[in-house]
Amino acid sequence: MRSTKLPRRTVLRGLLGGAVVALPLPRLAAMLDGNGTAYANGEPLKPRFITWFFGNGIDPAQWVPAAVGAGDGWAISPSLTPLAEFKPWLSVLSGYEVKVPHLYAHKSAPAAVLTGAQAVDGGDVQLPSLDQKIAPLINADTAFPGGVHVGISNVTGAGALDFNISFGGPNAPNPPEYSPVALFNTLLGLSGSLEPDPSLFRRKKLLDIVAADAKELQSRLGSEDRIRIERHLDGVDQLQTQIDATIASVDCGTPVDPDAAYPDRGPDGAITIARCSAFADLLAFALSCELTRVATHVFSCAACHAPYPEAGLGNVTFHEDFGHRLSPQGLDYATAGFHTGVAYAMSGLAELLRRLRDTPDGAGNLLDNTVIYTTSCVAQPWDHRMDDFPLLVIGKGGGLLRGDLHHRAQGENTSKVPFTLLKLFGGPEPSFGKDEGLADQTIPELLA
Amino acid sequence: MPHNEPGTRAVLLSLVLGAASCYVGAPATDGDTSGGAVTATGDPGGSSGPGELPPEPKQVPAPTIRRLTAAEFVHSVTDLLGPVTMPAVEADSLQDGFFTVGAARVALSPAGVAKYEAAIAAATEQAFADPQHVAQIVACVPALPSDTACLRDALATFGRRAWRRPLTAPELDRYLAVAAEIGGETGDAVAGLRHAIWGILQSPHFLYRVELGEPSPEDGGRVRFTAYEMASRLAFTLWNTLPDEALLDAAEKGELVTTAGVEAQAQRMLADPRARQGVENFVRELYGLWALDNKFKDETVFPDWTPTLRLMMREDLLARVDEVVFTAPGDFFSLYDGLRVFVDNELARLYGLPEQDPDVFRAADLPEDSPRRGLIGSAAILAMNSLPARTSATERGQFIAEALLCRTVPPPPPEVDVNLDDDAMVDPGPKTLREKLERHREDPACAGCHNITDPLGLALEHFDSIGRYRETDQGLVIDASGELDGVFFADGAELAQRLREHPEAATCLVRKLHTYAAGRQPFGPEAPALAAIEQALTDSGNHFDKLLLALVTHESFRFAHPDGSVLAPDEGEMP
Repeated sequence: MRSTKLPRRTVLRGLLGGAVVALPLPRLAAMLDGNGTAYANGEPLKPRFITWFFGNGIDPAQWVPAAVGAGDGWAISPSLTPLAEFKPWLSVLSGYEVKVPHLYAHKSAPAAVLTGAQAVDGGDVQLPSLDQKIAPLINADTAFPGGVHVGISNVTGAGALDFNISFGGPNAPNPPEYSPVALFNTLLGLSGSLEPDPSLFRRKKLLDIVAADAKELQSRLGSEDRIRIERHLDGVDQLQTQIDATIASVDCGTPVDPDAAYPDRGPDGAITIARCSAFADLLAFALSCELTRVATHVFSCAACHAPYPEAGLGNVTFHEDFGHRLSPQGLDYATAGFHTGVAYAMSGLAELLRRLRDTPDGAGNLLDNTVIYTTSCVAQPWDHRMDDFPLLVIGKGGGLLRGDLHHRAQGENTSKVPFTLLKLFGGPEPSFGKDEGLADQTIPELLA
Repeated sequence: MPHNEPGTRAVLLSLVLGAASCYVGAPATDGDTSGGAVTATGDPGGSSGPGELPPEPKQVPAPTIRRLTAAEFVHSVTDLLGPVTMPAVEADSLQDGFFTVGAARVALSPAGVAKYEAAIAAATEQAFADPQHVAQIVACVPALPSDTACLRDALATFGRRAWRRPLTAPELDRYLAVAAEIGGETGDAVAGLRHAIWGILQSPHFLYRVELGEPSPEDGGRVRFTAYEMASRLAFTLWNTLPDEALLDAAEKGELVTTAGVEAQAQRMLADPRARQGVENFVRELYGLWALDNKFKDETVFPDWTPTLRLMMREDLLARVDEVVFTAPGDFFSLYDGLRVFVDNELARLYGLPEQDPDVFRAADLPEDSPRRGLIGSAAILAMNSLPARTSATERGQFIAEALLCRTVPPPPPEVDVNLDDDAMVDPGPKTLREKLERHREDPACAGCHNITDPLGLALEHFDSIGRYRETDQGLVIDASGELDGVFFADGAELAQRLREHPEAATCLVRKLHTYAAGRQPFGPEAPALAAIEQALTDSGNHFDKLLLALVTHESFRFAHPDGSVLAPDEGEMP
């Protein structure tokens, strides 16, 4: 998905290093109209998209709000209490079920809700995930055309989909970055707060040669390997773009340094709310500056075996002791602990929502202009249930989404949710997913 | 991404290997080779009645490029530049139980390119910080950016080693030009050289194993790996790193396209210390030892679980393998039921062995009547295949079934209540794991698979979640007896002995090594090759170095596809 042609609006043509280069730039106040509500050419601001994923499912009895309706017609459920302050932006979709046959525990269902299709036996997915369908529509002119991908827990889920929730296609995952420091350093380079130095031009020269090598090699390969090298070339392009943006040195402010703000957040890969906060700061910064408009965030991967010590659930696997309720302390303890753990995950999500809400964007805030698709790998985990699947849509999508809604559609295909969001971002395809997972109907109730 | 359908290879592979019912043995080596391959139409090949046309040639997928695994990358960079510290590159993907298989299938993400750039930047910066060190890693150190002959010599030599083949003239010119340009710009010829090397190591020719072969006229057009590709295959298989100069010289002389030429080099390589690195990496992948790094335990139950203990568990297992393969070469399967362990005092305490002063890492032997024997009695295997606070007969059984017997254990079916406690009973009281798992064997939905795993895992119930021996579980007597393929065992020690004697042990080991080395599961038509390699293993008294030698010297290692088969046509188009 390499884009060499960038929209005029974000392109600055200049002579750098003796060559004409096209520079994607972070959004500047000067590029907006007088009210800050649209780009200078009158085009409306582009909404942003995030997939936010957590492993091990929910208990529908605690997750699904009691009443169906909008506004005052529904109230937050116990599991969703940490999201209460974001109720105006929150749409809860209940009753939906995964239609893809459940061939592989913890693998078929996440593949279905992320890609709309069955997983591959011994591999990952058959189709691109929703974020990768949206990225070419709104993100090609940014410094991360394929989006930014971050993760909190790096503990495996028995190989369910490895650690991944973003897929360019089969065998083309975008593994999450677990280090907020690494993302901070990348964003800092792009923020315009560093002085460009000559080494940037040298790096670009080397990447030009690497790209030439790769293209020559590509011509000798079979179709699957050509795709793999093409993806490598996407990476070379992305890095070139980022170096260009660093050279252009446009001031976008400075991202929050995780080591300064959250020194006690725990090691990369550990589940802590402070790590969620660190990534929330960085994602809000990147989305606000339009360094990217697409991101994914894995709280814990499908069937994640990590512990939730901060939630008071000890150093045991949340999956086994609470998700499967096998705690030696008994069923009541396990069930209550599971409910605590789900709410804990939602408090991690709340960190991101808070940063987005508190970041001005256009006439409102970033949460107004973002769509966050939240889901998991299973519904009720101890029965491996696939009905009443956890599905949240959060944010107003630049005014396209209604928000403050509990919509129930018993037995409907989960793929209708990603299909609706894809259409919202202008996806031209008539459907999302394939076979049993295919959806070609949107959910009009979600829309404003 | 333009690839919305799984590729031809994936489709073919699934046809070749068959779908999973609960117990799938070793499909390609069951002897049913005729049904193992497919024709272009997807029909099983190999059968033709009287008067019919001869069968279509059997088709197998063409070889693919393989990204260096993280271990191959680190070892290769270290061989080229000396010891360096690098930030991590994009993680490996596990497929079919091996990172080497994931490396042949999974694409790098765009963010992964930046990680390579940063890692190699750090490595070259360190390597070029000391002028004396620079002289050791390149053939010639230029004094001036205009010293083209010296730069050419340095880059040609370094490039051949890094890319495992000589650079073509245009390739060399490109890197030479960048070295001269940056050298001129900075007034520092060595800085120019360093940048060119930074580029050479970012090139896909370094980061991927490009081993595609070419048709060999003397072999009826069968696709044969070139001599340089053979050097790469030998080095990564036997050493887990790139070839040395001697191996590349042998390739240059064309010596690696014959069995004799390969054997001469393989013998030399197996005697080299790097062979230990190669075997160690295979064992790390085969037994999943990499997972030990992130394994956590409930510290309220197991205060003894320390980072040093975890490290020592891994060293114990690796030292056992090293001894039986290299220091005191013997029957590899003695690992399965042996009494030899390697300990420091911390691990000795866990094994119930005497402590020693000074506390050094040392060999020790468990008593002859020990309930703990072999690989499945090692703390590393027991702790890795357990939950944080409890044992897991399913995980332990799955390890035995999959890693040692090559049986496939699929994940549980949908909508199964995985809670093993009886909800109706107010207080079921303590139960042994065997009692709790009764449901697995009674419920037909569970029994198919759990009858593979649970009886094997329950044999190890005398060992707790960190691998410590226990007489009882919650005060209850442990019954560790069971059956493996109709043969009774009283406990874990006897199961270890059954595993050593098991007729599938050698077949499975050969299949695992072949998969690891090839970066893919065996093709149906490769069954005779696997059988021949297994025979060589048996004939050698199960010496692992002889297994490696048999693998790399078998003609199947030199060709991209088995004799009598052809490569499937590539239906894709250039993007």
